[in-house]
Amino acid sequence: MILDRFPAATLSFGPDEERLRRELREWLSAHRPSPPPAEYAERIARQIEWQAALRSAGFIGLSWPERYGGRGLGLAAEAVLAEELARSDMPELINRIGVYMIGPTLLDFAGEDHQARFLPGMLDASELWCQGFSEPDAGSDLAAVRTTAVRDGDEFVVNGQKVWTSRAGIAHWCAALVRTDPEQRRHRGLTMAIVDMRHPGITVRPLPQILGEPHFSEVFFEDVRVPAGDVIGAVGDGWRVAMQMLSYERGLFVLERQIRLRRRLDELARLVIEHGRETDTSVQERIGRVHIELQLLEAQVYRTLASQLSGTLRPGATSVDKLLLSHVYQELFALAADLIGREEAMTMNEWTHDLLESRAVSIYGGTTEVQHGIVARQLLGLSDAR
Amino acid sequence: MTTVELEELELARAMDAALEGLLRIPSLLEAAAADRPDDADTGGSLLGLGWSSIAVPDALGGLELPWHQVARLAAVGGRRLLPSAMRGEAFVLAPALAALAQAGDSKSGEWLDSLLAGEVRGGAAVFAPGVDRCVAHLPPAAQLVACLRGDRVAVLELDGDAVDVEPVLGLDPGQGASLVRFGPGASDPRTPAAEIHRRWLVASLAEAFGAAQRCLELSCQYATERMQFGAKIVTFQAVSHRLAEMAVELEASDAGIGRLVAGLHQGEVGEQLLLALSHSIPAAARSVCEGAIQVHGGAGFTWELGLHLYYRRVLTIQQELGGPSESARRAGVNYMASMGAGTND
Repeated sequence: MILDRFPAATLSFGPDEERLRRELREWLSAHRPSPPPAEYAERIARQIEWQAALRSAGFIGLSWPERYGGRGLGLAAEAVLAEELARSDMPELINRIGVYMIGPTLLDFAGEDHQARFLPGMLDASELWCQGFSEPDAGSDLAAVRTTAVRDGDEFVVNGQKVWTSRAGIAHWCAALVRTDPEQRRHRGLTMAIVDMRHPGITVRPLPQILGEPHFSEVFFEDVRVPAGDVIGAVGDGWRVAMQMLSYERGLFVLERQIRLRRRLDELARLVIEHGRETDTSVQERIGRVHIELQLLEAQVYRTLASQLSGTLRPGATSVDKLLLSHVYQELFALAADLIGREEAMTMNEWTHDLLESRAVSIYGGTTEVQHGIVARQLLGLSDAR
Repeated sequence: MTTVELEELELARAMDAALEGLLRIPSLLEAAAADRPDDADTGGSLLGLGWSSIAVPDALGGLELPWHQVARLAAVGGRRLLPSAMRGEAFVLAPALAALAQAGDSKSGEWLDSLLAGEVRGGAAVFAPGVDRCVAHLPPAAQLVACLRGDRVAVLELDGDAVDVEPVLGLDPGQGASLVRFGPGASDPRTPAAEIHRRWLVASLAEAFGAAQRCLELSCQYATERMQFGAKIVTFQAVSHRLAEMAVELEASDAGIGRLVAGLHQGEVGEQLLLALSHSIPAAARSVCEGAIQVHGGAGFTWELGLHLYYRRVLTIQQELGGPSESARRAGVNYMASMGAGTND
């Protein structure tokens, strides 16, 4: 046991964060938009407006440098925002991939000119981003990426295919992991390119998901030209950049999810109470188990955020967040489907919708099996583990 | 790291090294087989470590350690299989005597001095609400027992008629398991002890965590050494993924304890988190111990390897904290009650 790490440090909020929380709550209660329209394009337009409004009020990019339109606050401030947005009835930020993942990675690896060029558009959602990582033969085995970017003068020419790309159909830009050195194998010879999704060589084909909704797509690249300088980090350093980007998919992302799940559990508990089943000891126990798991997840995320803040995040540690999230997410909706009644469980409604959707969480961003491998190798240091 | 933090860390490391030297698995196994205390316990060498002063106020000669350090030392205790009774002695009996002494009870003050000097021993009996009997773990030649029920405590002499103690063969043998009942001369515990109860809970959670953490370490080591089918067994995903699952359970437990003690340090009680951890940490620790036995295969099931000592300890703590189902049910009741529901609890 590493005694100097136990018990784990946790995120704490100071007076500044509490002030921000009050400010946010006031703003949110004064700016409640009507429920999002059902029609897809209208819904997206409304979500863009919503993020732009939040941006105008100064709430997006709280931890980003002021010169790029941020407020120069800490990660704890971002946590306050994630918590308060999750507690409101608003949907997730439309450009969350940009704001929470690609933006911070640009701040870590990109030059001043790229930061100035791309960061402001992420904040107000005038430029939406997607993340081009997975390919048909490079899912869990991301290092098997085959999409190529061949240098031609002062450009790269990109050819290949990405798959399961969220928001590809509406994104202006894609952070795409491409192979720039075909001589190198696996993790070497990869580069993170910034690809303009409006290039005529790009074809986006929606890929309906388990619920029939087209939230992700296949993306085909045919002689797509990218200025040679439009890369995040150095040419050939794409793997490191990709791993950093993925590490941002935890922390704030999971914090927000955790609160949304807690609200769903609250709804379920209210339903249980309405049906007079709250005195059933078996129901009490099962509801209790999910509530306990959500509290553990919260503690884990606060710990991750505290480590990110102090620069002490251990390699592989955020896989724990992902694994805990996956488990409780699926447990919650499995429990719900068991408690809402047989007819409800046999028809489509918000609970059965979420039950089906919950299968995604143990797959996207690295499957549960991949996470277990990471925990074994990186967190436990078992270098021989696979 | 501040000077104080470094000192705390040094204390924990020194305690870990000292306990490793004093509590040897072969000796603990012999004691368990004979259901008698370990020689380190009877010989007094453990008392020299000053464990009983951890939760006693500075003004009364104690260390008055902060919450996170309580957790850290209790985890060291779990990791090294410190005698169970010492948890009750340090985290319930000693602070209860201190509270009584500070309230003006001179006899308790004398007892406390004797306890800190190692001249008197005692333990704690933690009763479920409304129940008059429980299994407690008492040290050799115990003279006192602190009876904790809910947020009230009473310190009773074992030779009086207020309490009836009958030694039993514990699931965790050699730990002084005894059936404790309130006797005819007993009155309800009256001294307020909410803080003592919480400290005992934190120590119990951390002890279970420490025991399980040790099991995980042993399992990782074994999996990288043990060869089967011509390969180290850690190269098989069935094994490495089980180890990963064990790690995840403990990582979450660590985060939970960290959050809890940070809250307690700020004076925030975190009742729901305490209830959650009272379920999840013993459950995680149990699952890790079971995983350790499984990863070790046939060797894991033997008496001589001693994994069962950690398992027995953790199973016992799980019962002390309410048991696997009841602890979850309590959390559910508390949660639904917080939403304004009437429940049957």
